[in-house]
Amino acid sequence: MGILDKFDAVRGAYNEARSNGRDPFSVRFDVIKSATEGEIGGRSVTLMGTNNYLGLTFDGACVEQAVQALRENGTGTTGSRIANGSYGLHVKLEAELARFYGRKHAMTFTTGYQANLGIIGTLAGRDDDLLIDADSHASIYDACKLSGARVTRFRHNSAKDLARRLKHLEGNPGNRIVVVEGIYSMHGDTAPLKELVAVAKEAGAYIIVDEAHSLGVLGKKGRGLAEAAGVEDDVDFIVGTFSKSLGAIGGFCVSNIENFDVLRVACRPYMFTASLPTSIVASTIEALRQVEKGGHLRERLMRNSRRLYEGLALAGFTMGPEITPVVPVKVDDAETAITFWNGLLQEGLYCNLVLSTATPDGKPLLRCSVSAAHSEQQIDEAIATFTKVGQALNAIPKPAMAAAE
Amino acid sequence: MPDADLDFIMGELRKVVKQPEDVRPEASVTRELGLDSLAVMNLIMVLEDEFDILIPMDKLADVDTVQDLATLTGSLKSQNEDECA
Repeated sequence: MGILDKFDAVRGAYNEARSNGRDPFSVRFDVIKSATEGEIGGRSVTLMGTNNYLGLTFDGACVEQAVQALRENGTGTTGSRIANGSYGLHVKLEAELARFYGRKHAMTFTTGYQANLGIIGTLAGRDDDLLIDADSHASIYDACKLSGARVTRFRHNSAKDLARRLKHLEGNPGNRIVVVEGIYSMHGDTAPLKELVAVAKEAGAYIIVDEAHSLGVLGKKGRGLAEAAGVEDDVDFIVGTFSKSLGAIGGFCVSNIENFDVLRVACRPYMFTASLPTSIVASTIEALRQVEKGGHLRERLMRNSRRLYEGLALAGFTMGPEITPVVPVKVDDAETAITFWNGLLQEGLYCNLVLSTATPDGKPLLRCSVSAAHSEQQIDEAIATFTKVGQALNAIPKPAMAAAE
Repeated sequence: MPDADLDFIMGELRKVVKQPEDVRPEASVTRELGLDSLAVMNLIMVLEDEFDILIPMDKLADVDTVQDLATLTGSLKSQNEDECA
């Protein structure tokens, strides 16, 4: 048996996805021109699947800070912070994050994925119980494996199911740790955080909130769902990423817990990987500043999100449960989804094709992510493109004939 | 372990597999019945509700066949009863 034979089923699905035109899993942009425009094969494409919520990737001040740090400190750090030391900017970013969240401690990671691996995988030990939302991101599932803790999933966004499971675990000697997300990355819905926090606290459990898609997006100051729901004091750990609204790459955790810094010498995904290049750190510090005073960007983002969601719903598409900047269109089967996705790209619109195993209910999605940088015209064009391709594929009803009037 | 539990598990599997006639106690849940990881986890949730138990994800490492799954739920149920007794 060949070493890759175990992936036969995955390879079959991959080949099927590729057989219909472009390879959805290795799209190649010739150039990215702005937060909302790119080019593929010499043709202009509107970007509506980049998680660039505030459109800061080309922000002048962020770019300038990055360039300056690049010139001053070089291209990379070539080592981990434990073995090779921190740069001043790493320490500054952690101080800025702690101040932004109003917490005592902050720790940065090289990616958001590693932040989850590191924090969840280290906080939960063999005798502990992890309770994760069933729709959790892959990084949370992988973190669970790394932890060695007992892991159970509770029904998506169900405080009642969480309570039932916590009750089962009463009397277990270890800690109970609940993990939820601010905005779920596929269906774009938010967690009922107030209820979940109340249930967790009642049972004496710790709670970790992953604000990857909600940082910069929710809350008056952009701190995410915990801020918006008014429960920041009861959330023990917030993890997140610099790669979405902050427009760079990296991850972080903030907390008020005592002795937090021991994680720096216990958390392997922090210890055994190179630290972020300072150009990334510098642009992130500037982006964080802009998030904090970015009320106007958040208003525009929500306006754009509502415009896209409502326009697509009106056209007859099946949408996600809630209006947030993650706007998924549900499609019945993989074949239609693949043809649809190719049709959109052909018409100059890029979104994400999500096939069944990555989606909670097994239905494929055409997942859009909206940016504050999108113009109303870009949103309206996207709705028109979806409608045109959707009608051609009979995914939505064709317009009624004039004669029927 | 009561046969009723095995029957329940097979009934749930028949709802989700492509060929319900393939569901038998000695069939491999992933290799023969073709459940992917998400389908397995969703089945686990249904069993947790039905039998009022928690099935930690690491326990699934030892599960291959439908019978293995029934044995696992049976042992977790009896643990539960011992604790309540």
